[in-house]
Amino acid sequence: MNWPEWVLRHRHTVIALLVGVLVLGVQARFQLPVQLFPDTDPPTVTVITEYPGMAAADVDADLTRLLEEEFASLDGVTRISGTSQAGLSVVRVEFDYGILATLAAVDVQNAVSRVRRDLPDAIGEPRVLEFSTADKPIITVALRSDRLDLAEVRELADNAVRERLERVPGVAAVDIIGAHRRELHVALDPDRAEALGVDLEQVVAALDAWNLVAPGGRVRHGALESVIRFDAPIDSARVAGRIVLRSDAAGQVRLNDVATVSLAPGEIRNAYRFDGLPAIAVQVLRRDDANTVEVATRVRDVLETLRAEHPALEIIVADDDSVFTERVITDMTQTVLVAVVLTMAVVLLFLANLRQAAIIALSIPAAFLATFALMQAAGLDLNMVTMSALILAIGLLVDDGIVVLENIHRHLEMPDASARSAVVNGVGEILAAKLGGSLTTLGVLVPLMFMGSFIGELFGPLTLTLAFALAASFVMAVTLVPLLGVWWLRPGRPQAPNRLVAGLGRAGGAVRVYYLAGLGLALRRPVTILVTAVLLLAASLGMLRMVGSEMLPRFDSGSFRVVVDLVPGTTLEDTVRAVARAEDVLVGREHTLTVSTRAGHEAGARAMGDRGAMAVNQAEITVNLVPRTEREADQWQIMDEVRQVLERTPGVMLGVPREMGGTARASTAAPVIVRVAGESPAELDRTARALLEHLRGIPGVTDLYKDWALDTPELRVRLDHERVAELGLTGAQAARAVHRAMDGAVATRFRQPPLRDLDVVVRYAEAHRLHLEDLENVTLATPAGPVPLREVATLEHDLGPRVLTREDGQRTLDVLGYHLGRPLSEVVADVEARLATFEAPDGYRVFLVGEQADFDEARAHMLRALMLAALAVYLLLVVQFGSFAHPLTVMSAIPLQFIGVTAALLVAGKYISMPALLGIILLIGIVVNNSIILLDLTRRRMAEGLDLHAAVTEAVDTRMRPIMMTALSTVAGMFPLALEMAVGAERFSPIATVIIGGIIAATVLTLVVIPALFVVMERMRVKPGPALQANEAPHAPL
Amino acid sequence: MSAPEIPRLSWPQRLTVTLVLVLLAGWIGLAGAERLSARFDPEPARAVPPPAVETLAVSAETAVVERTYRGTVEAEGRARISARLTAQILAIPHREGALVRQGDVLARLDDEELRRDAARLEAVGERLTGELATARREAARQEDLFRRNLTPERNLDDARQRVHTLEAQIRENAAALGVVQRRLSYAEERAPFDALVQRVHASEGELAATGQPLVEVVALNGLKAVVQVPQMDVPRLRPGMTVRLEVPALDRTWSAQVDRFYPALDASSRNATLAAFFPDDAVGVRPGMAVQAHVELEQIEGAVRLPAQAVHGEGPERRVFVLEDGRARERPVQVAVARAGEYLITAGIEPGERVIVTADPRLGDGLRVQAGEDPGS
Repeated sequence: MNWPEWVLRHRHTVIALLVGVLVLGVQARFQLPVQLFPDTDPPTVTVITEYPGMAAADVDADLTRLLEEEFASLDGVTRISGTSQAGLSVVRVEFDYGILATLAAVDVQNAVSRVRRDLPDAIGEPRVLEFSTADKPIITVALRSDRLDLAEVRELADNAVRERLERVPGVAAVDIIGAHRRELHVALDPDRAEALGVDLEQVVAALDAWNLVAPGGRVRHGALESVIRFDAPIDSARVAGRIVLRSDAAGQVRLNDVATVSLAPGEIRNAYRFDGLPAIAVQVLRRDDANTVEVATRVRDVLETLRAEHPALEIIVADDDSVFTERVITDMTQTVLVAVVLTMAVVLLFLANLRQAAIIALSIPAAFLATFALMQAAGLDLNMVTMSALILAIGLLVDDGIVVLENIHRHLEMPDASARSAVVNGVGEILAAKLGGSLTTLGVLVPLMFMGSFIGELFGPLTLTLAFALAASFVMAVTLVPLLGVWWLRPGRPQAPNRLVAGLGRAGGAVRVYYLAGLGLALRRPVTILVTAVLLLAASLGMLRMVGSEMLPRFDSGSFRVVVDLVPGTTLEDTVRAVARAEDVLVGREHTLTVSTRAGHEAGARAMGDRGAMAVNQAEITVNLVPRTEREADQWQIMDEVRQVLERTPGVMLGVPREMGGTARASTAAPVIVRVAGESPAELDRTARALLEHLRGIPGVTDLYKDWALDTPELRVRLDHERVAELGLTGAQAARAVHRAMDGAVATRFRQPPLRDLDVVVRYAEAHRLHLEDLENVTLATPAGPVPLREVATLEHDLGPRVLTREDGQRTLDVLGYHLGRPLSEVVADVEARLATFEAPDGYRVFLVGEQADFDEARAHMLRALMLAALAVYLLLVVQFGSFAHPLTVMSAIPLQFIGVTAALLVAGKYISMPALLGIILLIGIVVNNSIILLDLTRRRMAEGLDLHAAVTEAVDTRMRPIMMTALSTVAGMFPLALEMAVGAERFSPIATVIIGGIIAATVLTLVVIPALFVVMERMRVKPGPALQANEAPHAPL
Repeated sequence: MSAPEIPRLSWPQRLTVTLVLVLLAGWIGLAGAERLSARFDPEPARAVPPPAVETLAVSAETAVVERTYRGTVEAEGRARISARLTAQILAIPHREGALVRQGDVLARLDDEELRRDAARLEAVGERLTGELATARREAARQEDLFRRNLTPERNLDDARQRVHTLEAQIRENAAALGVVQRRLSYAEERAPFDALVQRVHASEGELAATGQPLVEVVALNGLKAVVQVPQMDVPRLRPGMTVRLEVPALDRTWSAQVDRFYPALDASSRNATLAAFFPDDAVGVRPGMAVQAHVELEQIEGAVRLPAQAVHGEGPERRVFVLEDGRARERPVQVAVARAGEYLITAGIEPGERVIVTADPRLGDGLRVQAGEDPGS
C-alpha cells in the first residue's frame, strides 16, 4: 500500500493528528516570545571594580591587569577586554557560545576571590555582573516634573520608582542617572577650621562617631528582658551642625562653627536630558535570559501604576526597544500576508481553478501553524530573523503543494479517472521525487544550522525556521492536500474557460513557443549555448568579486547615537551647553520621536555604553526617529545634519553619529577598527596619531578617531620629600588630605527611613576648591600646626589618558572608523593598502579588526557551509539517482544561479553580504529541484525508447508548467522581502534578492542549458558504446 | 507519447526576443557600470572641517598681583592685670566682654590693713612734727645762750643733733607713709586703656597672691593681623607694602600697610610672621578672628587677563593662539601670575587681538579654524 492510500484509509487518524498540530500551532503563535533580534552576543560577564581617586594608569597596572591575568585561565574564555579609567576598572570576559552565563559568572567570581589578596586594599568590592556594561538598557524612562525640583524627582526615582522596577521579574538592574542626588553636605571653611584648630579628619571622625546606632546588650526589667540600644543617628542638618568637634578650656567648637551643613544635591558630575530638558533617567537592564518584550511590557505596567501614584511626576518612556520590535513584527506579519496573497495570485493564475487554489490556500496557514508549533518546541522566538525566514518560506512552501496538486490535476484529466484514483496515482507518482527535492533543500540547511560562532547564532534560528517550514509544507502536501483533493476535486470537468483564463492560456502558449524555440536552438547548437553560459558565468563571477561586500546590509532603524567628546577637561556645564546645540536640530522636528542625552558618568551605574564610563567632557545623544516609512529624510541625512552642527560647535573634538546596529556584532564597536597594541601609553598615542594621519582621506570613511588619547589634563603634585618628613607627615597622608579636601570623603550614612540612606560628605566649601590656588592652599594638618600644600609641593601640568584599554592581555589603542556610500570591503581594502605602508615602532603591532575580522570569520564559516551543502545535495542525489555521474549534470544548474545572483544584486543596488551568501547557499537546494524533475522525466522517456532530442523536448514541454509555476510563486513570495516593504526587512532582504535572481536565471537556463549539457554529455557517453546507458537506466527512480 | 514540435519563430517574434534580451542586458550592464565606476573612482572623502573655536577680544588693564596669606587678628594693646598685693579680692566689677574705659576699676582688694598702717604712720608723723618743733625751739634757745656764752657748746650741738634726728625721722615716716599709700592704691586695679575684658581669672572672696592674674583686657584700637608667610615668599615682601585685610567672619575688607616683619622664622612651621594694623574704623573686628591678608606684590600696567585654558604650555614656554585671517597663530607670552582660573599676561599679545580660548589640543601654528561666537554671547 502506498502512502496516499494509507493516508486516505486512515484519514481519521491523519485528520486528528493534523488538528492536534494546528491547535498546538495556534497557541504557539501567541506564546512565542518576541524579540527584535536573536541574542547573538556570546555569554559575557563583566567585573566592575572601583578604585577611588586613582588615575587610569594606576588602575590599569594595579587592578585591571591582575584581574585579566587571572581570568585568562578560565575555561571557555574567548575574549577579555579591560578598560581602566580614573577610579574605575571594568573587565569584560566573553565566553564560548554554549556556556551558561550564570556558570561563567560563578567561575569569574571564584577567580576574583583567588586574586583578591593580591589586589590593593583600597579597592571597592569587585562586582560581577552577568551582562555586558555595553548592553543597551531595554527601557530608559525619563522622569521630570513641573511641580517638583530635580532633587525631589531624584528622591522619588531612587526610592519609589527603583523599588518597584527592581521587583519586576526579568529585570537585572535599575540604574538611576542624572545627578541631583541629595547628600548631607558638610562644606568646611578651611580658614575658620584652621583658626579654631580643627581639621577635616576630625570633622569626618566626629560625624562618624556621633551617627550613633549601636547595641548595648540586654537588661532585665522586672521579669521582662529589654534590649539596650544607642539610637541617636544624625537625622537632620541641624543635628549634624551641633556636633561638638573639640571641647577644652578655651570652649567648644561645633561643626556649625567651621562648616556649612546642608541637605542638598551633591556635586553634579553627570547629566541626563530628555528632549532638551534636564531630567532624571531610570535605565532598566534585563537579565541575560529574560525576554525583552515581556520585561518591557511588565515595566510599562509598573510605570502605569507609578503614574497613578505620583501624579506630580511626569514619567516618559524615553528609549524603548520594544516599540520598534512590535513595529517590526507587525510590519513583517503584514509582509507575510502580502507574500501569501501574491503567491496565491500566481497559483490561481496558473491553476485557473478556485478549488485547487483553495487547497493551496489552506495548506499555507496549516504549514505555518505547524511551523510555529515546531519553533516553540525548539525554543525559538519571533524576531527579525525568524520572521524573515517565514517570509522566505512562503515562496518555498507552496512548491510542494503546487507540484503535488498539479500532478493530481494531470491525472484528473486522464480518461476514467476518479478523484480517489487521481489523488492516489498523482501523489504516489510524485512522492519520491518531491521527497528527494525537499530533502535536498533540507540537506542544504543542515550545515547552515551548525556553522557555529556568531554567524551560526545569527543564522541558526533562520535556517531552523526554514527547515521547519519546509518540512511542514512537505507533510501538508502529502497529507492535507490529498485529503482535501479527494473531497473537493472532481475528474474531467474542464471548466468553462473565462476570459482571464483564456488570456492566460494564450500568454502561456506564447511563452511556451519562445521556450521551445530556445530549446530548439540549444539542441541544435549545444556547444554554443554552453560556451555562452560559461562566458556569462565567468562574467558574473568576475562582477561578483567587484560589487563589494559587507557583513550585514545597512539598516535604517531610525535610531542612532551621537558620541560627543569635548576638549578634554571641559566642565559638565560646557559639555551640556555644546550638546544642546545638537539637540536643537533634533528636538521638536516631525521626524524625531525622542532625544535623550547622557553626559558624564553616574557613580555606580552599570549601563555604560560601549565607551566605558564617560568623563564630564563626554556625552552621548540617543535619538529615536519615526519609522523610515513615515519620514522623508533617511537616517543618514539626519545623522549628517547633527554631525555638521557639532563640527561648527567650538570645543567639540568629536561628534560621531553611530547608527544602532551599525555593526553586526554588538561587541564590535565600529565597522573599521585598526588596533595598535603595545606597552607604553605615550608611544601608543603617538603611533595612533601617526596612523590617523596616515589613514585620513580614504573615500567613504566618514569619521575616524582614536578611542583614547593622552589628552586629559592632569596636575602632578610633586611633594618635597624632606619637607613633608620634617613636618611629621608621609606622602600618603598628604595625598589623602588633598583628596578629601578637594573631592570629599564619605564620613557616614545619613539615615532617613523609609527612604534610602544618603551619604554624609565632607569637603572644602566650593569657593575653597575651585582653582589652582585653592589646591595650593589645602591645609595639611601637621603636629607643628597647619601647613598649606604649596609649602611642601610643586605642581606640574601634564596630560594623561582618560581611559586605558586592554584586549586579551595587551594594552591597545583603537582607531575607529565608519563608512558611508561605499561597501565595507572596498573601504577595508583601502585601509589595508595604507596599513601596508605604515611603519609601526618596534614592539608595536598595527592590525585591522572590527567588522572586517568578523566578516572574514563569518565568510569562512559560510563557505564551509556552502561546500558542505553542495556535498550534501550531491550525496542525496547519488542516493536518489543511484548514479555518481548524473547528480553532476543535475548540479550543473548550481553555478548558473550566479548569473542571476549577480544581475539581481546589481539591479537592486545591493552588496554581497552574509544574507546574500545565505541566499546563495539556499539556492543550491532550490535550483537542483528543477533539474531533478526535468532530467528525471527525460531519462524515463529515453528509457521508454524516445530519442535524445525528443525526450528532452518532451520533458521540457511537460515540466515547464510546474517549474515555471513554482519559480514564479517563489519569486512572488519573496518579492515583499526583496522590496523591503516592512521596517526591519532590510537586514535580510538580500536573501530574497539573491534567491529571486538565482531562481529566475536557474529556471530559464535550466530549461535551455541543462538539456544542452545533457545532450553533450549523452553524445560523449554514446560514443564509447550504448551498453552503459542500458545498464544504468533501470536504476532511474520512478 | 511523442515529442512536441519545435516551433520556429517568426521575424517579429525574433525581434521581440532580441529586444527583450538587449534591454535586459542594458539594464544589468548599466547597473554594473555604475557599480564599477563607484569602485574605481569613488567619491573623495569629505574633508575634515577645521576645528571650531571660541575667541575673546582682549583688552589691557592695570592688574594687581596679590598673594594671600592666612592669619589671626591680634590686639596690639593687651594687658593681663595681676594682683600687686596679697589680699582678699573684694570686687571685680566687670565681667568678660565688658567695655571699660581707661581708669575704670577692674578689681578691688581688701586694703583695711594698709589703711590702718597709714593712719599709724600719719600719727607718728604728727608726733614727730611736734617733737621737731620742740627740738627747734630748744636749739634756738641753746644758740642764744651759747652766743652769750651761757652754755657750753656741747649743749648746743646736742640740741641741733636732736633737730636733725627728728627731721630725718619725719622724712622716714613720710616715705613709709608714701609706700603704704602707694600700696593702698594697688587695692584698686584700673584699666590701663580703653579696652574689652577678655578674661577674668579670679573671683570675689579669693585670696589674691602677689603676681596672680586677675583680669585680662584687650585694647579696642590697635588691632593687627598677624599672618604666617611661607619662607619662600619672604624675599618678596617688605614693610610698607599695601595689603588688603579680609575678615571672612565679617565679610569685609580693609586696606592697610605691612607694618613689620618679625625677624625670626618659626622653627617648626618655617613660616615668617608679618603684621599689619587694621585702620581705626575696623568696627566689629575682634582679636582672634581669622584674617586673610592679600598682599599686593606689584601693579602691572597694560596687562591682559585670559582664562587659564587659553594659555598653553608650562613654565617659560607659555603660549597662546590668536586668530588671524581664519588661522590660529601661535604667540609666546609672559605670564605674571595665575589666579582664580585666569592668567595675567604681561607680554606677547596686544589689546584688541582675538585670542582663541578653546583649549583644543589640535591647535597648532597656522591651523585653519572656524571662529565661533564669543563665549556668553
